[in-house]
Amino acid sequence: MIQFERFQLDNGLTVLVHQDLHTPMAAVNILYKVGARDEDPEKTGFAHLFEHLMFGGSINIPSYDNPLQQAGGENNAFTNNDFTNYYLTLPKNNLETAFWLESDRMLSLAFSKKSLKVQKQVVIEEFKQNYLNQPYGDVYLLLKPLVYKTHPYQWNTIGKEISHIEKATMSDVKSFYARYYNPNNAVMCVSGNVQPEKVFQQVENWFGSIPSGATLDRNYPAEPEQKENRTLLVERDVPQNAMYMAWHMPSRTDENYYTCDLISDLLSNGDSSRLFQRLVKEKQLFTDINAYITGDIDPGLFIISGKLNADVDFQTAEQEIDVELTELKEHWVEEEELQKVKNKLEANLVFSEISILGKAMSLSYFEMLSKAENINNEIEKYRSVSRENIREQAQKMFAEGKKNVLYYKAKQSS
Amino acid sequence: MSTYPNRNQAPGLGSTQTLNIREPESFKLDNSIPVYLLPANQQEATRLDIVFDAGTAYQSQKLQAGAVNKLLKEGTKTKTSYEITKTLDFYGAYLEPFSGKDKAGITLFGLHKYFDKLLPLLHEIISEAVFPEEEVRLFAERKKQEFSIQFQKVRYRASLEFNEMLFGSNTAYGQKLKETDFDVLNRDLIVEFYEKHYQPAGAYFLLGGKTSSELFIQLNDTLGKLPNGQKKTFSEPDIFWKEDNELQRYITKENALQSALRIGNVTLERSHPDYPKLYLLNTILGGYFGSRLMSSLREDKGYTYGIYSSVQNFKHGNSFTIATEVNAEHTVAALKEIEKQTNLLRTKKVSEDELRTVKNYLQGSFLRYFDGPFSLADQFLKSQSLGLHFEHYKEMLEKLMQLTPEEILESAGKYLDFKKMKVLVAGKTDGLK
Repeated sequence: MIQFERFQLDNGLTVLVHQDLHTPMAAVNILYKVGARDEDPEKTGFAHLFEHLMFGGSINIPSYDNPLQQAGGENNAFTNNDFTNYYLTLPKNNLETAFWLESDRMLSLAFSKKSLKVQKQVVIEEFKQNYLNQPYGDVYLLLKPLVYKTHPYQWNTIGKEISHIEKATMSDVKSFYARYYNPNNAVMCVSGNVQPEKVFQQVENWFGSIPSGATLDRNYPAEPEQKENRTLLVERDVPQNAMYMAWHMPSRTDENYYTCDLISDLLSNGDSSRLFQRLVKEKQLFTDINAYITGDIDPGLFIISGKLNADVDFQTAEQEIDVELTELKEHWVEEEELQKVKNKLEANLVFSEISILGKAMSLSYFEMLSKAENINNEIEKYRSVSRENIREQAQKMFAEGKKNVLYYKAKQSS
Repeated sequence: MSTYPNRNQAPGLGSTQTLNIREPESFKLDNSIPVYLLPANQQEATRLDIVFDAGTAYQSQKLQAGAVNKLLKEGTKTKTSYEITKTLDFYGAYLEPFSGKDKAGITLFGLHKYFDKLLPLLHEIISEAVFPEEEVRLFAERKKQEFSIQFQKVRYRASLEFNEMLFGSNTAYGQKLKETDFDVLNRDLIVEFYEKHYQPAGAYFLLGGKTSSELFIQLNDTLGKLPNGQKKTFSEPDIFWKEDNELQRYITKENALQSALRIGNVTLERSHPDYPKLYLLNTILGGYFGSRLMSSLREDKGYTYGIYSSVQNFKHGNSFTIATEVNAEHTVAALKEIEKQTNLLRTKKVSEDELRTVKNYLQGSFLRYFDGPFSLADQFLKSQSLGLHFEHYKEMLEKLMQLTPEEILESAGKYLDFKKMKVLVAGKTDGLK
């Protein structure tokens, strides 16, 4: 159970405070409700590039990192399909430094030309390092557009291609900032060894005068129902064949989301899971295999990915996965097995709520989804999923014509 | 009414917070194994670490140490691999093997309320592991596959080769894995290593997070019964590392988009009086995001997504390493810039302003390293494996805070000589001397 207090400034900024007196530190997490799904299809990768630019100096403060380091702080950020998240930790006595830095970059950036030029290069290196310069790095660049035809989840947060990053201009940067980086489009959570009253007062002081932005009307093109299986075969210079299967699944706030998460755990969470025991250990078709969900706000993906053993062909591997899915559709899972994956989820939730930063991130995330209070109902939601729910959801999700498969073939060495 | 704050000036910093660490309490199990305690009863999670003298430095055949460590939970005299993992998963627990150059062991994470169910299982795993042939074969096969994937990455390749350059080939620390090592691995080698090294003598435990007196009793009733006195002896390796003349190694990978660079040398022992100076130098050069290397190669020139330097501690020798992956087109320029930045520390005193930033950053980092029961446990295990008192971190931080620009310049002259450092490039190598 995480306790917290909530406060909203007149400009729309939502502030949550969680006190934990066992630490000498404080954590600040700011979540802006903007992600890759908000991008122009011709200018993808922009939300993530923008995350880099947020460190290039703000209107009154030439360097973000330096003063934070002076205050003994450390920070980072990440961007995903739905939101951009900035976080830092520092000794509790220096908390106000964090408010000064964060409020200034929420007020206005410096929009330095040099920063834009350099960060474009840095992001291009990131693109190469993580997506091009390593085996299987381009899998999601290939898989997403296969599965999504209309919805913006069809591209990755890094962007569709390097050229989109190359052609970003300062005017793009400014309009993106004006549209999304506003107090009414953000959630802030302060956690750690802090006094809520004092936090509210300081936050009011530093953030209160930042003007709010226009209310956003978001309409993401819905993905039409998939009617036929889709496949894509590529050949790459990699040591082993691999396959990636994806199905559409419900949105994060749909009650069946929890069922899908449990299905992925039945299939592959832990070494006792079905796919690992049967397909890796017993039948030895794969050297490793995983089932997971993307967890996006809009309808996301249920993915099974595996690397095939040398003498196994794609057809056999796929058939065996289908056998496992058919079992979920036709037979009830044993109560004990269901209990197992629920217990594991509960433990994971406890582990994720140990650090003050983990708690600040989770609270901000649940506030964005609907309200932070829901974080304390998560276990209950998982606990209430029944065997019937599992079977029904499996039947629906893995129905005929809903499958997408990427065959990632290893080039035969000559 | 809120007043408009002065945004042009940083708010004053609060008073310095002291690092609050103490030697943990400890007790001995019936078989004399010491158990160190780092309790944090405000939470529901518990962690138990079991540590042996079983790192890679002790193996006579590559992969032995890692294989024993990873295969411990793949079967005991009475339980199959599946039964073990099913029990762990059912109680939402994680049994995580760890294996370094010096120490190896296993960490059990779980909810306190289930620990009584988990301890007997852990006891059985440690004392009665059988290493089934089939599991050994599967392990070797899977790891070989993984290795061949990793081997294609310039980053992995560079780390693998550089470790050998640093510590010398055919030494305990300088071992370099190759694909054929996986074919040699067999059950006999594994059992031999297990019987020698997973023994109570020299072992210690750490219990962190939620603890209770019941838990102490259960621990004694299980792992406290590990027989001691039947230890198979083993000897320390002959050579942990040796000096080697090879200064450059270039590995060409056609069409690589990035080159992985590693630069460094074997450096001061932790107990050396100048160690804090080296630690501070490392921080300035590449030890944090605001470091000179990061500012120059990433923030100013955009050659790389990241560059770091670090001092790595082992019981018998430390290493200093600069590591990065750069745009292949800029391989030569990046190396030159790294050399320039390293030399600059030897020729020009660090400014008071930069020194203050680094000290404040370190002050905060130390607080962060020791924040929370599990971080505390990680740090304790590290100090214990190096044979250091836990409280030495406090002394080290105090020494760091007192260093002057003159002392730093002087020690850069002694310990940061780029000309004597080993350089490894994996990727685009044309244009390199």
